Amino acid sequence: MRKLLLLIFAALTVQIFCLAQHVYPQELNYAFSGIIYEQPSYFNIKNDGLLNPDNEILDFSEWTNRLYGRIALNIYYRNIKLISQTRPAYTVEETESDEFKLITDDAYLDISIGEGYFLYIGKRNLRDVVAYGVNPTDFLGENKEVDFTKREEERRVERKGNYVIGGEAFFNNVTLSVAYAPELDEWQDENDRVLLRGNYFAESINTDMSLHLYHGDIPGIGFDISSTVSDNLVLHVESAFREGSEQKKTITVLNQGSGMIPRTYAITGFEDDDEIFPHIVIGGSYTFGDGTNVICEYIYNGDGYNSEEWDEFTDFVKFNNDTYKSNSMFKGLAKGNLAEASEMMNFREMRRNYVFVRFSNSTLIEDIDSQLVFMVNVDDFSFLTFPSVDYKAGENTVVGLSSTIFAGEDDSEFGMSYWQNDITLTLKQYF
Amino acid sequence: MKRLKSLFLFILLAFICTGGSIAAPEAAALSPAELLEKADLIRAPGKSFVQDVTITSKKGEKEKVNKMSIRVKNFSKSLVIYRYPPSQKGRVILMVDTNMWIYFPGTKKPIRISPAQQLLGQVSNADVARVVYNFDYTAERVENDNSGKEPLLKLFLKSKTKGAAYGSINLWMTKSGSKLDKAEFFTLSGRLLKTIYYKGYKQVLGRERPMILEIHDEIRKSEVTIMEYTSMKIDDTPENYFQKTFMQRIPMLYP
Repeated sequence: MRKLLLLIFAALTVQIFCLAQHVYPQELNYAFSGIIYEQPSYFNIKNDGLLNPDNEILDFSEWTNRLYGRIALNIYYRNIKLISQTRPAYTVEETESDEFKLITDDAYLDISIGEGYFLYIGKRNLRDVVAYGVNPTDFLGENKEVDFTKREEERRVERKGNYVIGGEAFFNNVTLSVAYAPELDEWQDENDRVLLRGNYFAESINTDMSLHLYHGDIPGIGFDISSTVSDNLVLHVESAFREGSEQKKTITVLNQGSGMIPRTYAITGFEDDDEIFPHIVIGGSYTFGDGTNVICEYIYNGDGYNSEEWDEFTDFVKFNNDTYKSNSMFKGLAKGNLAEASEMMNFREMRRNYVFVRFSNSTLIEDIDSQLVFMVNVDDFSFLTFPSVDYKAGENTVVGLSSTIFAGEDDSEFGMSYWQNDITLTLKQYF
Repeated sequence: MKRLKSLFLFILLAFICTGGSIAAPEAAALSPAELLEKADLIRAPGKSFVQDVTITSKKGEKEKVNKMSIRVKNFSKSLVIYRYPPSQKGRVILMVDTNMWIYFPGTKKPIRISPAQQLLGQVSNADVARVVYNFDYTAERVENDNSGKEPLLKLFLKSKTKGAAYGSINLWMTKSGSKLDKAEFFTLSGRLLKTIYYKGYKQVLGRERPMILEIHDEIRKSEVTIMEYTSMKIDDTPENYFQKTFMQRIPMLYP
């Protein structure tokens, strides 16, 4: 498959260069820009927690320091563009050895094949979403690693793209696009995925809408809508309906266990299930006269746990926590079960109902851009809050301070986090 | 011959008295709506054009500079491409009627924003993206204003769309209708927000146009923003560039 893709890539490149010689008069041009980040973070790790009893299971660093860049180099030649975004990153952690990584978010060729028609091939980070807190229609990015030390609008920016081949056609107020992300051995281990999208802007009612058709392991359809209601108010809905779930797993006790026999569980997924799970975000953004902007969203996570399922999950965690702490012969098994529970928690939102709120103001205090974000689990009233302040120290320099604070009962979703809070200092230098 | 002379003198006198209105009707004779159209043509050289703007925000001793390019189509559609400083380079604002989106080059995601969301200093998104008034405002009436050095016409504009950035605007223009003098911008409740002075008139694309807009904040009196326009030219931008899905491509097309 990889050979085939490389062959297509090479053939297309030759073809495009030939076409470029004849059609487009534009000369070679380029744009180079980027940001250098220096980012130390301190994590206040809990001494004891349900998922990490006595802080022994997870090897989590109290502090990290990352020096990294986000570098964009775009080269334009006639009707061809090479778009790239890379992140060289050097990370120092307390519990790990120093690490250097070069991450490629984007590296693709984009070719204009006529007025309003484009083809692209390569690694690309594709997004077409309208919500802020979560993005149910971000189909191609749903399993990507997200940096939670960043503001929510930046979290999904710095992530690895997919190897894709696709096309876009732009008409008056209508855009049609297709993207194919093949399985590519060790390059891209997900099965083949296809995303078809149509966007329509209804000018007369100040509303734009998108329809997404996704084919992958968990197929689905998505529908986004956003509308300007007044000078101050914008409303939006982002929704996806998925056939099956990668997240949802039911935990059933197979054997209660006794004496020399451990308690055993069956953890079953819904990947092949044909049940339809809705994921819906309804929200809006309002700007006050003093420039304060408030975004508020209700999030319905259809494949999240209901109360009964959550109780089963927490019983599983509590039982294994107790087993681990009791130093019984099944300690190793309990450790494995707790690690599995941690992985389930990391996937994304665990429950069904959430409220996301963001307050921001970039004009109230000169040179200060401040934000306060809340993500509240309405099912158990645990929440995380993310205050952040960016100070423009110079024309190209920003100093930021941010924190993530988790709150809730020990057996609530956000209360189960391994760390209580963190604090991150970020120095950004633009060039 | 004497009768001819009298007729000639009569015609000459009549011409002088009417101030040459046969050849060029004075702006005061026009309706408020016609005056507003005339006023809009002072800043906009046509339905579709491009120009660069340097925005200097002054607050006491401090000064901040932003540069951007603006592409306008059919008066109602605009693309604003940020050029400077590096932290904002590549940002794009799209305005279609009252709909507005912002695209940050990193995010790959255009975000719909409300026109009220502030951009830079006293300058709102709409101030940069929109150069004509008659799209969002109706001219209700006009009156003479002889209080200054030069007699002017004062045009009273009222917002006609919910998306208009201001509740009302008072716009002063010369009696000939050839120059804008200043404009006052009010909230819906009638509070004066800012005053714009139209300055730096230069011969551009066939007529004299104000190339400098000086914006005085009427709430924070020490804050002044200067918008200086350059490189104005008639240039059509394809219709399909003015949609949110195309925003990611704009910085590539106009690097």
